[in-house]
Amino acid sequence: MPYIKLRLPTYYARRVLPERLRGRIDWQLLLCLLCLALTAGCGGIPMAGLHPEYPPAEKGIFALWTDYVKVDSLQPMLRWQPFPRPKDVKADKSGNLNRIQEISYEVRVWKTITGSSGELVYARSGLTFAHHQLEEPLEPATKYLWSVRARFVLDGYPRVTEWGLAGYLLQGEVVPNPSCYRFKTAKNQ
Amino acid sequence: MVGPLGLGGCTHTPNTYTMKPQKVERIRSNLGTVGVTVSDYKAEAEISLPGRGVLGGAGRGFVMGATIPVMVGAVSPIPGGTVIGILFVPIGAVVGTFYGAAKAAPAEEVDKAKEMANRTVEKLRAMDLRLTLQNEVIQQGSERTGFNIVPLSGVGPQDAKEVVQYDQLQIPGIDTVLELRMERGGLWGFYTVKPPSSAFVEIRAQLIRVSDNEVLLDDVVFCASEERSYKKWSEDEGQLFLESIISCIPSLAEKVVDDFFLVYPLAAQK
Repeated sequence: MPYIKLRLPTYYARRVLPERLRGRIDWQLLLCLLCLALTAGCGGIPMAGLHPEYPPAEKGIFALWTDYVKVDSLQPMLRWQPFPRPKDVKADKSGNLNRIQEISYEVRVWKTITGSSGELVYARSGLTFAHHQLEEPLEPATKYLWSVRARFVLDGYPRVTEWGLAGYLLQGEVVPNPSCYRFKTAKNQ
Repeated sequence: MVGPLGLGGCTHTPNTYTMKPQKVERIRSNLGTVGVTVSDYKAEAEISLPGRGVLGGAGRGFVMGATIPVMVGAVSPIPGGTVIGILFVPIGAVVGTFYGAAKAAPAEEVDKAKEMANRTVEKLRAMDLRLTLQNEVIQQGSERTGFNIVPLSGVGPQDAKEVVQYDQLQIPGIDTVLELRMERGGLWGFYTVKPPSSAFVEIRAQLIRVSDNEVLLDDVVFCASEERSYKKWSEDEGQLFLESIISCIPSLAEKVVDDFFLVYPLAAQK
């Protein structure tokens, strides 16, 4: 029997419903909830923004959110897809991506408090490469959320990609939110 | 068919994330001076608390008990799981009613928490976070985007249903209005016996061209805090609740600035 996350309806109601529901419940919404439950276990992990390479995004069959993947260091080397990705270049009909300059990356790491919210404990911007080793040690046996985005200049104006998210994508919610990438540190390092 | 109705259909994705990059950039390239205005009406307060006393707890337990078997049946891989779940509804409802009555929060405690939450809401209203939001958006927008973003006072919508005709107003030098409506805020929890809740704020932002009132970009942005019990939220005169709502404002401003002025849509997800 696959592991069923019973928190699914709770999270839907607490995080998603306020965005979608304006004082009424209708059949479309209930159908949506049912489909959400059924599809949570199907296909790959939904992703937005630059995908994480390490720690990877892993998700249980019926889980809405990704797992806290254990990392082997208190200063893990975070890795993600470089920007622009091949599919961005392929989809770029206007040639905008040929004109972008000064690509860099911004990383944020939040320590979880309760549930899946967090306190910002680490932030770096202006990173040149699609990887970054944390310069300060994190706490052992602690769960963290993290995300990354690219920053660049297009025709002289600053631009960013959306924050990287995985699982049930709460793109309308500020970061950190439960869709941020996740890892946990080991007890003894 | 299931996919679009499920994950895709229920998830709220900001418009700028799914628009064609050319369209977003065309809108941005035509922006001159952007005036930021904020709604004149107060946000709707929604306070979610536990069921009040034995009766309240029993009522919620009944709803929970009746709902859970259906939900479990629906997500289970067993063929006909939903129907089997429905068969268990009467049993679940009875068990839930007793459970709810036994675990209910005392009525006095819930009343106290409600009073505290209402007092905190009044404090928040007195602080007028709408102006804080307007200032944050202007500051962050000016610092980070390269656009000329200025305050536009006294012209925001007076009530939730009002559609302001900016072309009828005298707002010289401003060709685009970023209209912010602080729509809802409070404590949000699931309808269970004693649910933990999150402090939340929801705002709606619209970028409107003054010459013809066309809405160029429109989005609802949401901020939710960590979850806490109703007792925690009402400790220290509701200080945590107050702080959580206040701390949402810079994050919401950042998201509005990002989504409207900075985010470059990437190729399709997955």
